[in-house]
Amino acid sequence: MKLSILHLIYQTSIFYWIGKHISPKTLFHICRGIVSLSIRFNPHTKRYLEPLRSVLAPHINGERLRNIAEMHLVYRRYLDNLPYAWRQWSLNGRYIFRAEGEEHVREALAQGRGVILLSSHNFGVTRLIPSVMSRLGHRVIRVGAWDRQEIIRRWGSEAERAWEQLHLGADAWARLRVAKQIAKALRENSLVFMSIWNRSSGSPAQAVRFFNQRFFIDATTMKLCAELKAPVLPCFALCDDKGEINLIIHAPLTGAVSEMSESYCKLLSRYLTDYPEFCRFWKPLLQKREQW
Amino acid sequence: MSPQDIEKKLVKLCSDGRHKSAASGKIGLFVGENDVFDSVTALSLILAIEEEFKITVEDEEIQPKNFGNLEALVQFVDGKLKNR
Repeated sequence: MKLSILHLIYQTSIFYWIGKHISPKTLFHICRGIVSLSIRFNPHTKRYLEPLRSVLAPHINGERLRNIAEMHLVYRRYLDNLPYAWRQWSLNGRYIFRAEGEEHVREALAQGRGVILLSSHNFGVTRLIPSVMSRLGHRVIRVGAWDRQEIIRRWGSEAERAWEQLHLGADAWARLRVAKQIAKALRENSLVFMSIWNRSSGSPAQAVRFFNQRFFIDATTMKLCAELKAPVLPCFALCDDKGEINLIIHAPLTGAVSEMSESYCKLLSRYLTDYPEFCRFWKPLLQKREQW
Repeated sequence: MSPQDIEKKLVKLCSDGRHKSAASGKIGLFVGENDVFDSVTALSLILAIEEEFKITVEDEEIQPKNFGNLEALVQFVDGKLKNR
């Protein structure tokens, strides 16, 4: 556990009551306050921001760069605490989101083949998309790498979080079983949420460009989406300067796998360029890690 | 349906597109282009088998003893058809 006031409030039962009564707006302001101190006085924060600065500095002016760096820290801190805070606000009846493009989900579900919501790993408020969609009344199945115990620790019991988790498992056979479960869920016209991993290598159809950098989306996820033959809707969750989550759902990807990949990459590239403060992968990007 | 008929049908399914290499029965059914386990190809084959034989493959049945090679798969499908 990290040693921070917010972690203490949200992850220890003794402070549960306090956490429950902190509003989203207040949490956001606390994060801003902590960041404004840390950016001035904490040498670790300056080191942490070096990859972000080295990517963005040649392309934007100093003032904009400072603003992006500061908001990146604020959002990072806020989003790190949001899954825990969301649990408590949910129980308390407070919600802080809006969704654009939900009609695409309704139209896709009307076809009876289920829907795949596809978002990007390490960008924006991806973690909360299943929670938001559940709150909008959909049966949501999230596919991810965390096992049941980790999910319960982060989001509470099944009854509290209202969406189901499919754990990818450790070996190829376990992943195949999960793929089969996804196919079954889609046949039952459910909404399946997946986030796509990024890689340092790939084919041109999977390339994402922003600020003279290039990386690739994971080819297998897109292949799987195409194989499942359900409408695939790209979605991205951002956060405004008051801490409110804005979920944007796009029209279904069309065409063959390569065309779907290209369309998704263009969309992601646009989001990364417009909202670089929500990127959480500066270091792995520069280090050209195999996957992040 | 005899095991020979099941095998013929499975070979035809495996020969259809991405499962060509598996049709020989000499290598793993789910080995892809680079000799690695390809879960997407594997999923498409399982879904095709379900549709062709009108059977349901349960999650716990997806394991090497049933899908490791063509011979094991023939036995598995034969067993499912007999227990239907």
